[in-house]
Amino acid sequence: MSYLEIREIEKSYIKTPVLKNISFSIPEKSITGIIGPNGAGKSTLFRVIAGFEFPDKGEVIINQKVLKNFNERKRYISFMPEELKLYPEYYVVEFLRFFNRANGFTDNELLEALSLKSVFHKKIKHLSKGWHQRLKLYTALSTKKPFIILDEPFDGFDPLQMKGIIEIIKKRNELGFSFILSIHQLADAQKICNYYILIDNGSIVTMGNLAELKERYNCEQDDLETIFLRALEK
Amino acid sequence: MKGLLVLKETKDIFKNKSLLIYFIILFAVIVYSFYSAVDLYSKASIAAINNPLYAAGFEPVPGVFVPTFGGLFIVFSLIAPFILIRLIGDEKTNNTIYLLSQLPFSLKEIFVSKLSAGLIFIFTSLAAFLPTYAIWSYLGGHIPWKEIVLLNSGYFLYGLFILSVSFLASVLFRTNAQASIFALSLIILSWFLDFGKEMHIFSFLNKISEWTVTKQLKEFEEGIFSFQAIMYFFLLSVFFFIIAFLFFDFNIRKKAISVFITVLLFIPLFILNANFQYKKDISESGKNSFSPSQIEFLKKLPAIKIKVFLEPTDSRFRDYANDFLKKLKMVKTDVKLEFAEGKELKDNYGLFRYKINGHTDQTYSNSSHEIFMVLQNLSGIKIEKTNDRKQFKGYPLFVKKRWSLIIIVIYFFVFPVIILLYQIKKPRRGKDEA
Repeated sequence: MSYLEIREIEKSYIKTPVLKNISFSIPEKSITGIIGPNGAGKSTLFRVIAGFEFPDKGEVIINQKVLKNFNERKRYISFMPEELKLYPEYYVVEFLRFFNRANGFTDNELLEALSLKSVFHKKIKHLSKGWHQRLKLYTALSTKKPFIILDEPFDGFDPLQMKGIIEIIKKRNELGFSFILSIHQLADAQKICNYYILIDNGSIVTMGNLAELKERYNCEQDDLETIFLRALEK
Repeated sequence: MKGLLVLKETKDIFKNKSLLIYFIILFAVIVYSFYSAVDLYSKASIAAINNPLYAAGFEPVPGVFVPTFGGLFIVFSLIAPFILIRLIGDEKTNNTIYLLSQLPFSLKEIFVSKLSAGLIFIFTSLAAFLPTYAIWSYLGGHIPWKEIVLLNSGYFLYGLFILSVSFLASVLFRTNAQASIFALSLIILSWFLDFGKEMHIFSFLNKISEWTVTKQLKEFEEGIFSFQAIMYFFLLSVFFFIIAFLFFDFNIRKKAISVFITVLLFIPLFILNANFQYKKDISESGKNSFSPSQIEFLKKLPAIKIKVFLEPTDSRFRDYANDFLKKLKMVKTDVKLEFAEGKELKDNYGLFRYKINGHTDQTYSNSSHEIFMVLQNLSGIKIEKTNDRKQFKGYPLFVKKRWSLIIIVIYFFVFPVIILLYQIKKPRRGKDEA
C-alpha cells in the first residue's frame, strides 16, 4: 500500500508567503479533504504536491522515497486542477480516443458510471458545466496511479449528480486508491471524506478524522462547520 | 505513442478556425502578388523578346517568385505567430498542459511534438506555392529549380525562426495576447534595424543590422547559397527553442541559471558563425559573382584595403556596394573597408582608394571594369581570360494564354474548400467508439 507524506512545505510568490510550513501524511486508502476558505493556498498546495511548482522548502515523500520533481511524482499522482478547460474544439469521443490511446487503456466501467457515452458526439465547448466536470473526472480517475488529487471535484453538479459521483469515488477508494480533495462546501466534504485538513492563510489549522476533531473542539454534533469555526476561532 | 501526440498537435493547428483565416489571407496574397508579378514580367518582356541584351535582365526568380514569396514574408511575420503561439499558449491558458504532461509522455516529447506540428504548418504554407510553379510552367515560363529550392529553404528557415519566437513568447507570457505582442515586437524589431541601417543613424545599428533575419533572408532571395545565413537561422532558432523549453519544463528548478548557461554556450557559436564564410552564387545568370577569370585573379591577390570618400548614404556608394563590394566579399574575406571623415572626406569626395601590399591607387569610378584595371596595376597580376561563362540569355516571357480563372479557382475555391471540409469533419461513429 502506498503512503504519502508532505514535510515542511513552504512557498512564496515574490515576498508573499502562500504556504507556511505545511506537514501532513495521507493515511492509507483515505479520502482526505483539504478544507479552507478561498485564497487559503489549497490549489497551490496541490500544484506543489503534483510537482507542477517547486516549493521554496520542503519535501514530498511517497513510500519513504523523496520525490524531487514532476517526473518522479507523475508515476504516483493523478491531478485534476480546478481551472482545467478541456480542448473546446474536440468532440468528446475524439478527445477520449486520444486520451485512452495515450493512457494505454479504456476504463469502460468509469465511462458507464459517468454516463459519458450519451455526450460522445457533442463538442466539448457545447457541454454544460456538469458534463464538462464529468469528463474532467474521467481523466483523473481513469488511472492506475495510487494517489488522486481532485481540486473542487463537485463544482457544477446538482445534489443528485453529486451523489453518483461520490459513489464512484468511494468505489475507487475501496479498490485501493487514496484521494486528496479540495471541497468548498463543508457539508459535501462530510459526505465523502474520512480525514480532514483545515488550511487557513497558508497554514494548517487542524487535521484529523471526524471523531478526533469532535473531541479536540468539544463538539457533540457531527457538524464539520461548527468544528472548523471553533478551530479558526482558536 | 509520439505519433499520436504529433497527430494531436497537428490537428490542434489545422482544426483551429484562425487557420482558415490565415490561409485565406495567404491565398489572397499569393494570387495578388503572383498575378501582378506575371503581368508586369509579361508586359516588360515585349521589348526584350527580340533584344538579347535587354532579355538578359529577365530572370523568373527575382522577376516573379521573389515578389510572390514577399506575401509569405508578411503573412509569416504578422499572422503566423497568432496561430503558432496557441500550440503552447492554449495548453497553458486552459491548464490542459497539466493533463497532457500526466499522460505517459515526457515534457520533451510534448515539446518536440508541438515543434513537429509547427514544422508541418510551415511546410504546408510553402506547399501553398506549388500551383504557382505549375502555372508558370504552363504559361511557358522557365523554372530555375536550384534557385527555387534555395528560396524555399530561406523561407523555411524564416518560418523556423518565427516558430521559435512564438514558442518563446508563449512560455514567457501568461496570455496569448501578451505573447503575441512580444513575438510581433521581436519580429518587427528586425525591420526597424534594417530601416535604421538605410538611414545610417548610428554605426552600432549598422553593425547589428548585418545580422537581422531580413538581411539574412535576402541572401536566399538573391540566389546566394550562404552557409553563414543557414547557420544563423538555425542557431538563432535552436537558441530560442532551448530557452523556451527551459521555461516549459516543470522539472527545471533554477531556470535563470539554465538560461545563463545556454546563453554562454551559444555566444561562441554565434561568433564562430560570424567569422566563417562560405557563399556560392547559384543564380543561373551569375549576377552575384564575378566571372571565373576575375574570381581567379582576385584569389591571387593579397589583402585589400579600401578607403571610401563618400557618405554611406550616397547612392554612388550603394551602387558600389551592390555591384562590386558584395561580389568581392564573396571571393575575398580579407577586405577592409574604411570611410573617410572630416576635411579629408570633403577634399576628396567621390574617390575610392585601394591599397595592396603597401601600394596605393585610386579612382573616382565605381564600375567593376575600372576597378579591376586599378587592381591589376596595383598587384602587377593580369586577369587571364579563360573558361569564362556564357552570356546569360535571360527568359523574357510574353503571356498570351488566359490564366486568371485557373489561379482563382485553385486559391479561392479548391484550397479553401479542402481546408473547410477538414475542419468541419466529424469523428467517425462506431461500436467501441472511445
